[in-house]
Formats: sequence, C-alpha cells, structure tokens
Amino acid sequence: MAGARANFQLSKADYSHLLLTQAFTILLFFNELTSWMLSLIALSILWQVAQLAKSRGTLALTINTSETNENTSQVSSYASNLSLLGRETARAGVVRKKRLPLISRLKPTPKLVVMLFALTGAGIIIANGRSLGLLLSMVHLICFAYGIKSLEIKSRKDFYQLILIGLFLQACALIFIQSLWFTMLVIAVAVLNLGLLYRYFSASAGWKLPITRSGKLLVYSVPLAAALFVFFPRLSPFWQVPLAEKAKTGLSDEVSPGDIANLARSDELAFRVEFFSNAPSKGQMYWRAMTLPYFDGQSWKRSPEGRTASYLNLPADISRAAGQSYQYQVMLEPSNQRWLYSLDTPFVDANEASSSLKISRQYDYSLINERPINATKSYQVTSFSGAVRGQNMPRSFKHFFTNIPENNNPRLTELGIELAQTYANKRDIINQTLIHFREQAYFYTLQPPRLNKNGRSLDQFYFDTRSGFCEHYASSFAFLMRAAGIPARVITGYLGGEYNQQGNYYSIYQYDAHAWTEVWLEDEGWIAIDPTAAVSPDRVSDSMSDALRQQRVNLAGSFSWQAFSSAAWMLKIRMQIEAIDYQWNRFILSYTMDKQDELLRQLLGDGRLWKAALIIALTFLSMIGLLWLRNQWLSREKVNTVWQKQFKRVLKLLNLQGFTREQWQSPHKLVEPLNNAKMGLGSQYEDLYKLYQQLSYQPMVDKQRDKLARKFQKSSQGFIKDLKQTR
Amino acid sequence: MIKRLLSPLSNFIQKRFDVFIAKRLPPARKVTLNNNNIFIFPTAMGFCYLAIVFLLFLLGTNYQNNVIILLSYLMASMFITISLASFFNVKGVQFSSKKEYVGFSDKPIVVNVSVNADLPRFNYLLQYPGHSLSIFDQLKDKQTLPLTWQAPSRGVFKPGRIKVVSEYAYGLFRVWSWLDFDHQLVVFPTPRPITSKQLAACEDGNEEGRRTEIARDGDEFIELSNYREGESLSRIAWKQLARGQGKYTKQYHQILGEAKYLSFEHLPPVSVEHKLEFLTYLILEYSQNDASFGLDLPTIRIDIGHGEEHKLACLTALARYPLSHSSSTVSDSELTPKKAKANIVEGLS
Repeated sequence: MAGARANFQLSKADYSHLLLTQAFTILLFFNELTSWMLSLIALSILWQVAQLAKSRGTLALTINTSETNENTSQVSSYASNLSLLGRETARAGVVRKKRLPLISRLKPTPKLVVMLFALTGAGIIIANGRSLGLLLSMVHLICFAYGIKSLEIKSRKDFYQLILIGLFLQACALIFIQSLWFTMLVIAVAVLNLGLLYRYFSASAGWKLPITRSGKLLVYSVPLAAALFVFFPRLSPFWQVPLAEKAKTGLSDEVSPGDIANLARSDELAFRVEFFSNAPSKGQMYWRAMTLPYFDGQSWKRSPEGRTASYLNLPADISRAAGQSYQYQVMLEPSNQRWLYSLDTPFVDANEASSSLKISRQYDYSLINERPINATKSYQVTSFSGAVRGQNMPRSFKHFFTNIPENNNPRLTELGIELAQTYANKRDIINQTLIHFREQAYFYTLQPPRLNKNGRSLDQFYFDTRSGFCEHYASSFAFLMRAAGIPARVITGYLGGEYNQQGNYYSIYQYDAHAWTEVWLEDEGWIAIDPTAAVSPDRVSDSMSDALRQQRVNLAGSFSWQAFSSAAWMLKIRMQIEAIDYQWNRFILSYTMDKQDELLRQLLGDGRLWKAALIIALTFLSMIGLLWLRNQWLSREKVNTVWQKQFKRVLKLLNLQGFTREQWQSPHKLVEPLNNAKMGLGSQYEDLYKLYQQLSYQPMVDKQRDKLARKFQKSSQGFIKDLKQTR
Repeated sequence: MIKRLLSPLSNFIQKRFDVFIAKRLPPARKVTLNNNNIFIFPTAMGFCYLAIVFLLFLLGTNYQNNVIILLSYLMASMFITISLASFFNVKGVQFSSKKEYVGFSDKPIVVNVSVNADLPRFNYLLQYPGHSLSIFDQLKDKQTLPLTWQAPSRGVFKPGRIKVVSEYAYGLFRVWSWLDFDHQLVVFPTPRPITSKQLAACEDGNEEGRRTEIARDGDEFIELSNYREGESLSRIAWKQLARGQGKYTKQYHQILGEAKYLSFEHLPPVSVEHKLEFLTYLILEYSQNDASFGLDLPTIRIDIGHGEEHKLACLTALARYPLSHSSSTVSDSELTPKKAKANIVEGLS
C-alpha cells in the first residue's frame, strides 16, 4: 500500500461531502460539547471550506496511452486505487485512459495551522477536563480528533479512519439522547457517512446514487437487525462505565416559594403513564415524587443540610391496602435524579425487582432508584387510593413532623396556636384553613409578588400578598398545621397529565409540577390535602385543570410546540407523533433483559435459547435468499427496458387477436395481415415498429433515446387503445 | 534464510493454487463470473468495521443502551448485505478476449478484454499480476477494456491470468477472480532505424541481381511524386506543401525497389538482437511502401510476399527467433535482452 500514499486525492465533490458529514456529526453533540470546542471545530471546517472554495484552479490530466481503444469507461480519479492489488502494484504504473475528471488539487494544510488547531483543542480539553467528567472528556477528544482529522488526509487509510470514527461518533451520540427522532437523525447522518464511502468507490455515480444505495442497503439490513434485537440474548454490563454528568431536570429536593413556578415554564416531558385498567380522573392524579419534612424557615427540604435523612430507610408503615387499585406503567424521561413517580400508596410489582432499575420504597411511601435516571426507563406500579398509612406513628416522629423553627413567621405561628385552642377536632382546623383560602381573596398566579427572605415570607404571603403558586399554599398550609400541632409535610410531584388517545397514555410535562401537603390524623394516618385546590376549587375538575394548563402552556413559551399545536388538527398530529415516540420508548428503549426473558418464555417456551438461535439463523438465510432473488430478478429485468416490454406487450396482444408470426419471422411480417384486416392499423403498426428499430439499433445520446422512448410509449399506448376499439 | 526455507512451501502452495484455479477457471475465450469462480474476503477496512461494530455493542451493553445495541446489530447486519452487494457487483459479468495480441517490445502491449455487464458495475480493476493496473469506474452494457502488459523483451509470452478485483460498495470486501484467456502475446523487436549507407556497406557484392539502385550521393532521397492515399505522413514533403505546391511524397529508393530477401547477411556485424531490430525496421519500411519482400533467417525462411498478413508473419518470425542463439560477433551489453521471465515461450514452439 506504500505506493499509493503520496498521491491520495479526494475529488472536490467528495471533499464537500466529507465536510458536510463532519458538520452534521458534530452537530449531533451540540448539547454535549462546550462552546469552545464547538467553535474550534466549526473554525476547522470553515477553514477547509474556504480552502476548497479557493482551489478553483483545477488541473486536468490528459493521458492517452492507447489510440486503438474506444473505451467509454471513466477512469477512476483516484490514483490511490492503485494500492488495491497489493504490493506488486507499487512497482507497476497505472494506465489511465481517456480524459481524467478534473481533480482539485488541494494544497496540504500548512503544518503550523494543524499544530495550532491541535494545541488549541488539547488546551480546551485539558482546561475543561475537570468539569466535564470522564465521559464528556472522551466525547470531546473523539469529536475533536474527528473534526480536525480532515485537515490531513494523506492516504486512503486516513480517509477510512475518518469514516469509521464518524460511524462510531454517530452511534455514541445516542448515549445522550435516545428518542426516536434523534435516532432517525443519527441514522440519516450515518447514511450520509456511508454514502461518502460508497461514492469513493463509484466516482462516476454522483451524489444521489450513493445515498439512495446506502439507504437501501440499510433497509435490507433491518430484518436481521430486528431479529438480533429481539432474540439475541441481552447481556448485563461488563464493567462500570462513566456516566454523563448532566444537569438535573425536574423537581429538586427542596422547595422554596417560586421554585415550582420556574419549573412550570418548562414544556419538557417528565414522564408518561399507561394505565392497564381504569385510570383515576385527572384531578385525582397526584403523582408523588417525594416528601419534604424539613423546614428551615425559608424552604422545605427532603433532608437536613448536608446530611441524608436516615429515617427514610425504615420500612413503610401501611396498615391496610384499601380502596381503588390502579395498575400502571410509568416511562420516565431521563432526569438525572433518583426519584420515581407514583400515585398515593405504591406497591412495586414483583417482576420489577430484577429490572435495570433498583427501586426501593421509602418510609414516606415514595419510590427511589439506586442510581440517577440517565436514560428512558420504565417500571410498573400498583397503587391503592384508600390505603391507611402510618397509623402507628411513634411519638418522636409526631414531634419531628410538627417541628417549626422558633421566631419564624410569628403571625402564622400565632394563628396556628389560636386555631388549636379554638377547635378540639383537628379535622376542623384543616377545614377552617381551607375555607379561609377559599373565601378570602387568595389568588392563584404564576407570577406572584416578591416575598422577603427574612424568615417571614409565609406570613407575608398568608396575610398580605395573598397571591401565589402551589408551593406558596402548600408551604404556608403545612407550616400552619405544624403550628397547630398537626404533623404535616410538603409533597412535591406532578398533577394531572395530558391524555393521548392514539397511544392510550398520559403525558406529564414539567409544567404539571405541583406541590401539596400531607397531614397526619390520629385514626386516619397520613392524608393528602391540596390547599391550592381550595383556592381554585375548580382545579380538581378536568376542565379547569385544562384551563390552568393552557395558562401554563402559554407561559412556557409562545413558540413552544405545545402552544403552536393548539389547533385541533395540529393537536391530533402532535398526539400521533408523540404516540409513536411512546411506542418507541415502550418497545425499544424499555426492552430490558427481563422483558426479553419474559417475551422469549411466552413466545418460545422451553429451549428458547436454541429456538432463538434458529430464528436468527432463518432470518439470516431468508435475507440472503431474498436479496439473491432480487439480484436475479434485477439482472433479468434490466435486459428489457420499458419500451422493450411495451413492444412485447403489443406483440402479445396482436398474437391474442390472431396476428401470429413464426419465431424466426420479423415483427414486420405482421404489417400486411394487419393492413388487410383492420384499416389504418397496419401503417400505425409499421410506424411503431420503425420507432422500435430506431430505438434498438440506432446509436444516439441518452437524452435523445429517452425522448424517443417516450414517443414510442405514447404511440404504442395509442396503438393498443385503437386495437382494442376496433375489435 | 527463512525465505529460502519457505520457498519450497510457497512454491508448493502456488502450484496447488494454480491447479485449484485451473479447475475452477479453465482457459476459455469467454468467462462468465459466477458463484464458482468469484472469491470474496473482507479487507482490512472490513475487519476494522467489524471491530467498530463490536465496540458499539460493548458500549451499548455497558450503558444498557438499547438504541446503540440496535444500531450495532444494524451495522453488523449491514456488513452482510454489503458483502452481498459486493458479490453481486461482480456476479454475472461476462469477459471475453481473443487469444493473441501483438506489439513491439518498447511499448506496452495493449490487450483488449470485452466486457458485457447487464447491470452497471463499479470499481473494476484489471491487471496481469506484476503489470500495470487498469481502473474502470463503471462498466455498462458492452465495452472494451484495454489492459497493458509490458514485455521484458521480444518473444512470445504467455502472460497468464488476469486478476479482476472490485472493492465496490464500501471497500469492506475485496471480490476478485481470475480470467484465463490463455493469452499469447507476440512481442516484436523494437524497430531500429538503419540507414541505407549502413545497409550498403555490408551489402554483399555477390548478391544476386536483385539489388536495387543505391543512392549515389549519400542522400537516399530520389524524387518527389504525387501523394497517394495511404502513404506515410512522414514521407510527405512538407516544405512543398507549405509553399502551396501540392502534396508530394519523397521517394527513397535505396532500400525499396525489387523484391528481396531480408537476412542477417545484409546487416552490419552487430549482436543478433540488434540485427533483429534492424530487420523489424526494414520489414515495417517495406510494408509501408507496399513492397514485396521475403525473410531469410537461420531458423526459418518466409517466401516473398506482401500485405498485412505477410508483415505479421515476418514480424512473428522475428519475435520467435530463439533468444539463446546469441552467437553474435559483437557483444553489445546495452542490447542484451533483459532476463526473460519463466513464462516466456522461447523459440519456435
């Protein structure tokens, strides 16, 4: 291969194709790469584009070796193909025939420029290495290498490396995003990349054929890939891999007034739920994420500052699983947080125990995963709406859940004490407070007035501003309850969801985030109270929740997908698209080892391993067989062009009508009998035959032939029509 | 050392391979590439591709990322479809070629191979092993592919099989086959101009009266005559043409004229190869002027005749003249033929 090294050249078109592929591949990592790296790679690509544009002065090589041949083939523009036949070729020269296509001879990139790029890139990676973490540093490194590799393509090997690194990178982009649309984008870029390689081996083919051919080959490969995916045993991870340290999204483990209002401006999907039987009404869908029992005077927290709350690891106290039960599957979007969502009192289904999620139920009845959710995951839960929870709460816990800091929100504290003195029944205290919210002029707004941060913010809200978002109501309600001696805590999660009819599931978006409270009563245990619902009582009803949702949608951004798709037909299309995405998540992303095991057991029963192997082998063989047949058919089909087939049809029709000829006779023989039998048709046939002969034997340019072929088709169609009419 | 030890082994393998190939691809005028005679194997690039696929599978498994696993399966599956595409690119192509080609030893010999491809085929490389490579980007319908073969010396050669290679589609596979047309290349000596003076100097005085006029004043040019269709352009009197006096050809008389036998005796005492080159020149000159001539070599005598066929017969006789008979009077190191290859058919066979 040594001989070819010096004269490797990519044609200008191929080079542009390469740069395009590079740009798209890097764009797949738009969210992962630092802006420094992005701009460096962009600079490198732009530099090459400029070089490419500058190399107008192309140079034509005309080498005529043999005068005798009338060879029509185009000669490869790549001298590097030389290397194909191995070492002996290095000694022998290449014979080039005819005129070589224009080769744009790009000047090699100056060493200095390459060095400059390389050093800057290395600097960026080193500078950001710490903050990026291992995985992202690696991604940076590979992207960077891929981005500037094209500056120095000296041999075919370099070109191959670029293609392969490109393929690898394109697949790696799926580490970060796995949605159907992104996957399709990745595959499109991979096809573009493969098209480039294809193009290199069929230089005369232009840009369209390589891409369509690559796409076709990819489509032919789908059956086997699908069989492998379904039946090839899924393996457990071989070793621990570095995870992307990505920003956490969704709820955080502390809530101070204003947090959820910010979340409500995001129209990102949080999770999707499919109910297996009946679903509760939307107003009853309180998706619990976590409980926040610590109040530091300003915000409610899941655990005290800097420590983990160990009490959460105690077994949950559930006296009775009663009431309506709902079984459902939750499909989480990656949030890089550990909490999972469930209704009321969840029971994790037994078969989830060994799934890729390690779910545990905590003392506060919330579900939590062992590791942060960094990819789309799903789990199954059964919830009981009327379960009695925490009936036997120890005294220490009662104290814990009524604990409020001293000298904090004095007016509310005072009110609490007053309430406790007024009403003996704790139920009455709760009702009284809710009535207060309902009857006084409390407003529900996403843009509440600013509150002081001096430990009196809840006072300020409850007595003065009186307008706020759910967390204002939940915080002040929980505080008031504690002041009145009722154990209470703030719950965060989501409320409601958007029903997708096509997919029969609910989508819960970030703007559905909600905060409410749970209070503990002696006989009933923990019960959920939503003080926000008291303000706008209609919120529990579906229609109102939709109206509220609309308000939030508008807030989330007037240019967002949701706002855009408010028209009915658009909504339908959006729902359809989301339903497809959901199925993708359900069948592809959530197809875990256990799911596979279960499916194979159901499908194949005993001996499923060898049966699965058999199915894969059969798919493999049938794929090869079908492609083989297709090739046979193609080579047979290609012999007859459209006009040839058309003429055969004419002859067949004539044959059916009794105008026959011997095999050895020319079709021209039919002119006379036709003339005798049917007036006018004979000459028409003769013209047709003349055209046919012209097409068959007369040498002409492709364009001319196409034109003539069209003419032939038209007249033969006319002839067939006339023939049928005169019958 | 190791090479020497291994050479019997490699020779043995080569022999077995030749037998194997000969069985699958017997010499023929027409070869259709099909399942029986196409070889396919992944290239280094192909193995690298597989390595990447495996890497992706590991990545997907470790991240428990189904999409990456799916993509790796897709790429693995594509490896197979690409192998089929590469194979189909070669399957069913028909090659044909006539048995004998001729040429002069100073220029590469052009061997035309006709190809008949029902579907467009891409990236074809044809080559006699060890000789120049011919690259054809696209084969379509019927066309002729010119191959070149550089002869080491004059003689009659069997260049052996032609290797056909295609790495079409993605360079992941090399698909190749051998075409055995049993080609025979007759390589004539390079024509070496000889002036009439030189010729005259060695001309034997006792030669029969077939001798022609010899230029008297050293200049072979005799007269200008009207140009006739088919006469060599090199003989056109350009000066006259430029002056607008019409198209004339210069007539040289010394070596033309009556029919005669060309033989070694008429030539200066140089090496045999040298003499053969002179004779080649003379044969060409005679033929160009449509003169009759015969050839008288120690090994063969060709009667006087003329025409293209006769010329070829004479040139072939020169090509076939035994190489080993180098009983030359003057050893001319420059002219001794390069070491001929083993596949040269020497002498008259």
